[in-house]
Parts: sequence; structure tokens; C-alpha cells
Amino acid sequence: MNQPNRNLRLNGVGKATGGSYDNVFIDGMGTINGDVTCGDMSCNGTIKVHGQIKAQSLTINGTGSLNGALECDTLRADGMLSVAGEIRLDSLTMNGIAKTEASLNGETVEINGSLKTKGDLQCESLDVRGNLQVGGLLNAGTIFIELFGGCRAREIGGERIIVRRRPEGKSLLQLFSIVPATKLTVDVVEGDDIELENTKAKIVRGSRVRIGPGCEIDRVEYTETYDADLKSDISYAVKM
Amino acid sequence: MNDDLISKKELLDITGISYGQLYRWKRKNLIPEDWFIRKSSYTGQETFFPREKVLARIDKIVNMKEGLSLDELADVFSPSLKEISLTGDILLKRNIVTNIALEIYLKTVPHTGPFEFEQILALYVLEKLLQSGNISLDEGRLLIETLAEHYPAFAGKDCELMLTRKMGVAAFILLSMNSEIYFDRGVKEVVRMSLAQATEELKLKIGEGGE
Repeated sequence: MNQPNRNLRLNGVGKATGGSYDNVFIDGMGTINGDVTCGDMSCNGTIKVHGQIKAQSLTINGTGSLNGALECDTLRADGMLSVAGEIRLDSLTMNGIAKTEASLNGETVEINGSLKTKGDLQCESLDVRGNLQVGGLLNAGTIFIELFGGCRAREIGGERIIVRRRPEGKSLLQLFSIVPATKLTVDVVEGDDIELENTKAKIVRGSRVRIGPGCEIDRVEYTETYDADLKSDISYAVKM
Repeated sequence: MNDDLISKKELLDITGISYGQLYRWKRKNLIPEDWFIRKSSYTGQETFFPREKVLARIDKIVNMKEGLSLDELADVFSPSLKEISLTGDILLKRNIVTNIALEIYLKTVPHTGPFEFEQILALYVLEKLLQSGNISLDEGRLLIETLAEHYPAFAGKDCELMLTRKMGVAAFILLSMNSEIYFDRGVKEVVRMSLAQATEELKLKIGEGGE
């Protein structure tokens, strides 16, 4: 039973069954039926998994889709990744579009492009340059978001929360206004240090709150310091 | 509004912790997900907590985080069972159980070698109930059987142990957390305890002796 090398290698168009492998390499178009447990998994091209993946590291160049849960230490994806189940990982680097129908749990998450979760997003450090859509609670130690397009979250909570708009620069897309206005829409933002720009929120609660330009906020509650840009609309601000 | 609930704002006021801490503890599972109760209020959605549980928990976290890291704390509070095994001698030496409880256990379930955490928990609960004088030795045997047979079914979830008596006949019941249960008038509820809480106590006890 103890075979030294049990790699799965698919070149071209191929199908394989799930199972436990040392390493998995897919170049071209691969379909895996069943759950996969492996060390490193590397995919160039298109991969489809009917089941869940448990891997040490996962690298995707191209398109990946998964109709189960995903659990790995490091995930790097350039291109597109869509997952139906829950994602659990240590570090995620994404250049492109990532989607999950459930929640995402991680340590460090770095997104250049777009991230969409139907459920909660929970990690220690989150760095997003691009678009972010969180259906549930976004809970992270440090949150940095550089907005592009219409971002959304139900609630945001954490220690340090920074939301910035992208540095000005007329892109072609914006010129033809294909992209919706750059804005973050959220019900509640709660944290220790909060800096917001271009944010529409019902309530912002924090110790040190700083509201930059382009915000529309119904109510700010702060305990230590508060300061707001004149170009923002804040209906009500109270010191607690 | 329900008296047993506390709003997030009030909680922070009373305990003096910050939003950041609260969210961090939630991420580390120091405060279980299902204590966050979302309710609508005049400002939209508000989060509430079960008052007594959350205040007690935060008090513990604040007092213990000096000595333990957050991850170690999370272990203490998680209802799942630690990977740990101790021999009967060590259990006796560390005063986790007494000879009587151990004897009853060994008479009920055949056992050799070190005890797994789950078994130690059963022993600990038995010890506690014997000490409190609420159960007899025979009932102790019944308790061990019940726990051995049914506790694994709750796999990592919190559950309650209940002892009832009717006309002197004892019955042990394991039920999932916060479920309601009603008896006829002849039934007396003798003991009702949360096993997650017992797990927590036991983990602390084992941890203390180990250092």
C-alpha cells in the first residue's frame, strides 16, 4: 500500500477520480470526481472538482471551480475561482475573481480583483484592492480596502479598518461609466481605529473614527476621537 | 425586551472592552458564534448576547489572558475534547478524582491503561456528583454507562446532563443545549449541569496540575 509516488498528472483533457495523492498537476482541462486530499496541487488551465479539496498548497492559473469545501494552507489563484462550500485556509493570494457560496476563514487574505462571499469573511488581515462583496459579517484584525466599483458588506468589525477610494485616474471603463460608482455600502462598521472614504453606512461605532470624503453616514458613535471631512454627509455624531 | 439578553453596546460599557477585542475573540472562537443573536431594532439590526453567559465568559477571558495565549484560551473554552490521556494514578494524585469514583468507573466499564479525555470527563462528572451528595454509588454506575453510551453522539457540541427521580427511581438524561423539557408532577429534578462547563473546569484543572 505504501507506494512511494502517487502523483496525479493530467495533460490535455482528462478526468480522474478523487482520492489521496501526493501531488496533483493539471495542465489543460481536468475534471476530478470525488474528494481530493493531497500535498501540492497545481493547475494550469481549467479544473473542475466535484467534491472537496484538502491540500497543503493550491495554485491555480486559469479557472477553478469546486462544488464542495476547500481547505488548504496556502492558496494562490490567478484567474477565476468559484467554490460552493466553505473555504478554510492560512493564506490566500488572489489576482482575479474569487467567489464562494458559503463563508471564508483565513489568516491573511490578499485580493487584487474581486472577492465575493455569500456568508461571512473572517481573517486576521485582509487586504483588498478592488471589489468586495460580503453577504454576512466581515470580521478581521486589520482591514484595508481600496475600493473599486460598488462594494458591499452587511457588517464590518475589527481592530483597524481602513477604507480608501482608488487614487484618482480616469480609466476607460470609468469614462464610459460601465463600472458603478466607487462606493462601499454597509449597515454597521465597528472597530477600534476606523478610517473611511466613499462609504455609505447606517452606523459607525469605534474608538477613533475618521471620516474622509464621499461618505454618507446616518450615525457615528465614538469614544475617543472623531473627525470628519466637509465633503461627507454625517447626520449625527455622538461621543459615548 | 428580554432581560436575559444584553446588547453589544451595553456589554462593552459594562466590561470596558473594545469592539476590536470583541471581534478578535469571536474570530478565535472564545465567544461562540451562537451567542451572537441578531435582532432588529430601531437602528436596523443589533446584536445581543445571553447576558449571564457572556459576562461570565468575558470575565474569565480578561482574568486568564495574562497567563495564557488566546489560542490556549480557545482550547479551554471549546466544548470539543482535548487530546489528552492520563493514567488512573495521576488522576488520583492530582486530586481530579477520588478512589471511590475511580472504583465505580472500573467496575462499570472494563478498562485498562490510561484514560482518554472523554473518560476523564465522565469520571470528573461522577466525582462532582458524588461529592455533592446528590447521587448514590449505584446511580454513579448508571451515570457512567449513560455517558459512555450517549455522550459521543453530541460530538463537540454542548449538552446538558440531567438527573431526575421519581419515587426514588433515578433516571439520567442527556439533552442538547437550551432545550426545554417538562415532567409530570411526581418527577424531581435533582441535578442539571452543562457538560461544556464541566469540560472547561476539567481542562483548567488538568492544566493547573500539569505546570
